[in-house]
Amino acid sequence: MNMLAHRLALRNLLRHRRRSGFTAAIIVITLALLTCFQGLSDGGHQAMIQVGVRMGLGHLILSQQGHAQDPSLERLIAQAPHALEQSRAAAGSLARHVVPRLRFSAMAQAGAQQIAVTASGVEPALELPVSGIADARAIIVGHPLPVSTAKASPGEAPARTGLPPLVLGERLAKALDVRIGDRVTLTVKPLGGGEFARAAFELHGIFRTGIQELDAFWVELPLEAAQGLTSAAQGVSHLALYLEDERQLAALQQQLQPLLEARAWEAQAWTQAAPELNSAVAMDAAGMALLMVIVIVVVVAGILNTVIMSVLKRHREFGVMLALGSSPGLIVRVVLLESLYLAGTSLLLGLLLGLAAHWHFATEGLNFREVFGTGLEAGGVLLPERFYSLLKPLKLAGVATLILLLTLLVSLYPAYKSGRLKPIEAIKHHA
Amino acid sequence: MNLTPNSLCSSGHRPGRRRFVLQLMPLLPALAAAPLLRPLAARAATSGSEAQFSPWIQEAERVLRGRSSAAVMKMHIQRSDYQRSYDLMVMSDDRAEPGKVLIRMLGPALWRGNATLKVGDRISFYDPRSRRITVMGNSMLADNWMGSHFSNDDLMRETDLSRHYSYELLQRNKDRDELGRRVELLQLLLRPKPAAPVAWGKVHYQLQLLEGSADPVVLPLQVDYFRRPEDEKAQRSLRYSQLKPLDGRVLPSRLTMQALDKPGEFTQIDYARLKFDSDFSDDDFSERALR
Amino acid sequence: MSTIYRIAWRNLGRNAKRSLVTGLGLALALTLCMATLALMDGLSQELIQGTTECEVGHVQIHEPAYLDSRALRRTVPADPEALATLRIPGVQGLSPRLYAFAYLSHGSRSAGVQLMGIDPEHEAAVTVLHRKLSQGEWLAALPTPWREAQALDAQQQATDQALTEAAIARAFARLEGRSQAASAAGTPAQRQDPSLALAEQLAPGPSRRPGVVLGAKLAANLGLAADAQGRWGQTLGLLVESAEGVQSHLELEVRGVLQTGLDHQDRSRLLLHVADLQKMLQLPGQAHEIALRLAAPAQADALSAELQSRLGEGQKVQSWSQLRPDVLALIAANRALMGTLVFIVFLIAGVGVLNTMLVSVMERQRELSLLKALGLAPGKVLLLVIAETVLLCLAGGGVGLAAGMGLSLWLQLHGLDVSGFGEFSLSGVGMAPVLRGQLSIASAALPLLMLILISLLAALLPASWAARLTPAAGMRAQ
Repeated sequence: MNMLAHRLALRNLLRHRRRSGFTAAIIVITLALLTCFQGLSDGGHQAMIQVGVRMGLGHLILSQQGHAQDPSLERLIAQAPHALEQSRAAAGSLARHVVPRLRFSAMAQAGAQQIAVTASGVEPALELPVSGIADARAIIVGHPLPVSTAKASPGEAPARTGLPPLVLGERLAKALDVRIGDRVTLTVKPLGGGEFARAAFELHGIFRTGIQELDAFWVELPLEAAQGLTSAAQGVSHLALYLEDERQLAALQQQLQPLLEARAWEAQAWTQAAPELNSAVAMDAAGMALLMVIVIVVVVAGILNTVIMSVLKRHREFGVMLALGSSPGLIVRVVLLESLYLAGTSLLLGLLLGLAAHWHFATEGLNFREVFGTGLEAGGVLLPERFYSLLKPLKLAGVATLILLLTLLVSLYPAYKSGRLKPIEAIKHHA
Repeated sequence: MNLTPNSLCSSGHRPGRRRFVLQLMPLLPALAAAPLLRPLAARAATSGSEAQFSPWIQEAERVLRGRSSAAVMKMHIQRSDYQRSYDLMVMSDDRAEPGKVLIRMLGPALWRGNATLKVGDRISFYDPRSRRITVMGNSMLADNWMGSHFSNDDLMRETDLSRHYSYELLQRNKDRDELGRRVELLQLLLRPKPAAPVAWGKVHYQLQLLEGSADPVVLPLQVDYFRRPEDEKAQRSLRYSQLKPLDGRVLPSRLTMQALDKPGEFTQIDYARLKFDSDFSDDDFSERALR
Repeated sequence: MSTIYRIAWRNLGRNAKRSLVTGLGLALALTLCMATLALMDGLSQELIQGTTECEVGHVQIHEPAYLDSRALRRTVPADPEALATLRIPGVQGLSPRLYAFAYLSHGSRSAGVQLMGIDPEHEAAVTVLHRKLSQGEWLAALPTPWREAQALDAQQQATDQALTEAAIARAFARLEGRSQAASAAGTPAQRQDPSLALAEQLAPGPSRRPGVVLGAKLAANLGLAADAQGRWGQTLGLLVESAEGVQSHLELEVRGVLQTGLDHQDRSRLLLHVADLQKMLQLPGQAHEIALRLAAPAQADALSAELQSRLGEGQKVQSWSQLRPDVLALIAANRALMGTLVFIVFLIAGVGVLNTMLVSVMERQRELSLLKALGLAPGKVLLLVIAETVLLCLAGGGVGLAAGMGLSLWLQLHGLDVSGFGEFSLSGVGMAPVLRGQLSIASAALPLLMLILISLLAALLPASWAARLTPAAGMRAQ
């Protein structure tokens, strides 16, 4: 008996190839689109977060306890190389980059001009992939901080005077009236008090980020030179972690907890450092979720439409079957199974198609400028060039299952009604 | 963005200078006399003759400051959008570590009674109207002292022209000074040493050597500060003039710092009185003394 | 023609279920699209608003070189007349601000701070800064009473000269007398009285301690906390240099604590009344920055260009997108994302409509063939299908439009509370997170047009194909 229902269902589907095919096509396409929607929605949010994180400090900042409250040279993470190793090990594969930085206030002087700035000691090799300032697109004159301290690699200008290199913002360069190659001194109050320390640097490059405060009051120099100047030994202000997938932030924080406790560090997530961005993204995500719900409703409605149509058309057929002695239960099962098979296969195909599209967007990404043409010169280096599709397989499977279930649900009523048909009326009225 | 451009910043003393000077003091007369004895050929320029020129420059730089001194001066500031005049008293004591400086404003009304004390890296400020002393432990002062063309470094610290540069004699000739005395004018080229933490790319220093007298033999005449080594035009120029007897010595009583990149702007300091080697006690540079 | 429509209408009625299903499908798709557009617009607005209303405002005016140097003397006029000229149509509020760096102390603790002078009433019309107050009270609307500065008359100037000379003479005496501190002329306090009186006239102090609001972290670092009753009122010492170069020490009173959630602001910012700061800095009627709030944020660029042309070279007018390109980048990223998603949603809706129409037409082959057999010309058959489609579109479209507008309106006025979704403490201040929609002509017209287009296309193809069928074949097909 069971097999009969299945055979009937399949044969019905195959008999009305055009109708079945058409319905299947509809489901396949809408599901593929739904997958794209989900993937690009999540990926887009990731891109938005990157905008904020790129100019900020990273996804997660590790610093000495109390440093976030009152950042000074008094509260540094000691023995940076060791700390870096420990953090890398603890973070594992979740963190793509771990970057040390030393931040302090200084007076930058060139000739008679002297301006109070914020100085950031960085490791150029580590900083290059994550920082908007070290980005080659941001440097408008000269070169970024050289990656290798030993010798200048091709493409990098060798230091003229043997002084450690320095890069600063476009507006600061104008205010100090400096050119590439000029000598710039930084004066700081070193760790441990005492007289002010001063050191000379050679201007290696000038950057433009478009952010006023950075372009006017920010300098970057090699970490070693910064540590030497401030007598910070091997201390750093913080270690910045950049995640591969920002949704794993909570997991990373969890993973780092033992390390934080052992070293008396604290971690600050980008959500705390850039709360406006965080709220904006959260609101957006909520909006997308709402849309997703609506879209699922529409998809299911489409399926319902098709199912109802096909069932309505076949009342005569069902009537004949009933007259020939089939049980109403068989009818119900056949209708349900038809829905199931149709929806199931279509969903599967749709998923495959969707995943293929997702894979394309996950690797190639959608280029902002190409797709939307408008002068998205905004923020220059801030805007990532493309955004990539991001999918959580579990979430996707959940959505597909939900649609399948809903399909079955909406097929219940027509199936039930079909079972309850009176054969004679069915044959008579639905010719 | 996490930025707090602290713009209250202060400068500091450099230790070790006094010892250097004390060691060389006995040598100075000998060095001064040397040019007169050496043959002309030997007087040709040798770059990096630090041993010879550095102490002269140091002496020239300290000519109005000595090991300890107290001075009353008038400062006139001319800027493109305003001008101000102050009367102030400056006391400095570099005999021991840490170096101390006390600057008290004598006029005009809005500033009278203000006093700034710097002991090592600790700066205290006294405001007579609130009778309050503020100790600025770790902040940074704005660069220009009271809007003048002198930096906080210049007034509160010793300069580093005698230390971080290599020296080359450009010119040497005989002339007469303001008072008609016979002097030798030396023009020195100062280039910063490779890693020197200095802001200038090149300095021209004009010295005046008075032939054989008990007075300080080296007087500064003019110092031109250039941004870059290849620059033709200086950015700042400090001229010493108005030779007068001050505490028994004939010294330039007027300093004029011109901002050559901003035509018409300058700051002028006139020394009304100067006294060297006052025997200051610690009390003289205490917070009580501020009031 | 009307016959066709009558037949079309009756046909629709006869296959009520099918028509209903089809019509509803259309309506649903339309509602979805309209709601999507409205929601996207709303989110976009929310993003712009959230990031500009915190502090930036929509347009800002500065002296051209101010932002790069933060030099005290680079100001723009901010007296009532100047502010009045800025109130062009479109400007909802404007707030003059002053900034300065100073040194704050409390007991043994001290910190370098950034002073920000605002007019509480004006500021409330531009930003939501006042909502960030976490403890205590906000700034008083009225500035601290302050005596007017007066220039010295001739006699006073002479006195001033004399005092200077006396001070110089005393200094000379001191030089000679070495460590002689006191002299016959009285204690330093007594001597300074006439001098202080002159200074007080030139740059008078306030009649009482000006009230200030501190950033939360600053308060914590200075060791400040409310008393048991939750009151503040502590005294702080401030050392500040005015634009005239006068350094003076002032006492301030703590009114409250501000929590913006932005690190460097909470750690170094001190808020006070702009008029108080003007007096402290000796910058009467001037401001470093004037922030404007506009009725239509989208007009920011256009309006700032207009203001710039009115104000000329002496002042620089910039819109928020120029001042904060990072925010602009964020919004651009958001728009791009939304555009993509809207596109996908429209595709889905379109496919849905296509599905509906095609299915309904395909199911009618038999019917159409019958009509042909009865003698209706193929062209007329086509017309009939078109007529039915159009009627269905109108009906379904009408319902969809109404529902869509209703939903959008509800979203705009009431919004969807999504607090259950995640953390919504915008900048440390709890907020009721509500998704709002934004209704516009475009968001209604676009989907409608698209819908009609797709419907017609979807109906035409199978219809024309059916119309060419021979009646017998058509009736047999099922």
